[in-house]
Amino acid sequence: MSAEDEIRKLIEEARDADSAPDFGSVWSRARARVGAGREGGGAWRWALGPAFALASAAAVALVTTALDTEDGATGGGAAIAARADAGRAGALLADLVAPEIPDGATDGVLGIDDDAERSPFDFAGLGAELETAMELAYGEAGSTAFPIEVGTDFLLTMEIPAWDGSGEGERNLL
Amino acid sequence: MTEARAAADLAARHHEGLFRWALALSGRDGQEAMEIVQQTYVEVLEGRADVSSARDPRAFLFGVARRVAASRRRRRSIWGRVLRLEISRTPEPGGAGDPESEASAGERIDRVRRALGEISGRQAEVTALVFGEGLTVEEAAGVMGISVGSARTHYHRAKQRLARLLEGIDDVGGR
Repeated sequence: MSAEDEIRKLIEEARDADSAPDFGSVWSRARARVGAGREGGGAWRWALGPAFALASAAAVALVTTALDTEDGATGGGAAIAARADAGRAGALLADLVAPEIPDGATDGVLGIDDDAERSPFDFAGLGAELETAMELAYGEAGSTAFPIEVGTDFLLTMEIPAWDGSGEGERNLL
Repeated sequence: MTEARAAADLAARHHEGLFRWALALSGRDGQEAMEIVQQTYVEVLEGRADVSSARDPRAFLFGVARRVAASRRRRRSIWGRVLRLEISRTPEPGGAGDPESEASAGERIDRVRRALGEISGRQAEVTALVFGEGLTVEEAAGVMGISVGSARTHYHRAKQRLARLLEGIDDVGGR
């Protein structure tokens, strides 16, 4: 027998003295770990989803406030008036405001509370819509009007005046 | 047969060899070897390691175990420095039989294990795969992620080293 064969024999002897743990128990634990990982991942998503949504809404609110201050507005933010405009087609912001815009909606937050009441967890989508609205409002020299779809019966148009701090244009046509 | 069932059958077929390979990778730490095997199965179950498309499923599983062991070593190294963790070791399993021959076999096995513990990482790996699991040097090279030439060199040096370390046991190094 060659030295190589002898080494092989000795290693095989040492190898055979090692007993592996039962396959079934190791496999079952691996499956349980995979299952727990999936559940854990789901829990993380559930926990982080609303947190990101809230952070997004808060960021938009902060940007709004900062821009408002830079423009020298006297407080209160964007003045929003809404008027019925049944003839206009297309919608830029869907389900953003309730059919009846309360007086409190002229606070520059575009009726966020009303919307939150209907859909308390949809802050992320709302934040994106708000961002679009603010970009449009600041992108125009004069007032910016865009339609808001409310149900299927009629449309409202929001009118955001120029941000000159004068307060002109703050009117509710409804 | 479902994919999960096929994976389970494959794993069951190679479980013993995979555990022995994990023992070699972990420096004969039984607890760590079991963790390596278990994590290898997790990789397969989660689809990160697609064993169904492997040409040689055994070599593929061994390769996954090697990556798992390396990843765990890195993590333990980092945390070990911070927390000074002591890795527990499972007791060596004992055999049954005639006490005299058992003692003699036990001593021989201990000496072989000590010798295996003294050879360096790559040499120990190629030894475990070729001598321990019956892989060819080419297959071992695939598992270890190195060229065949490099694997041959490690294999040759491992043999020379083991012959010296095991000299005096039976016929090893006797000629």
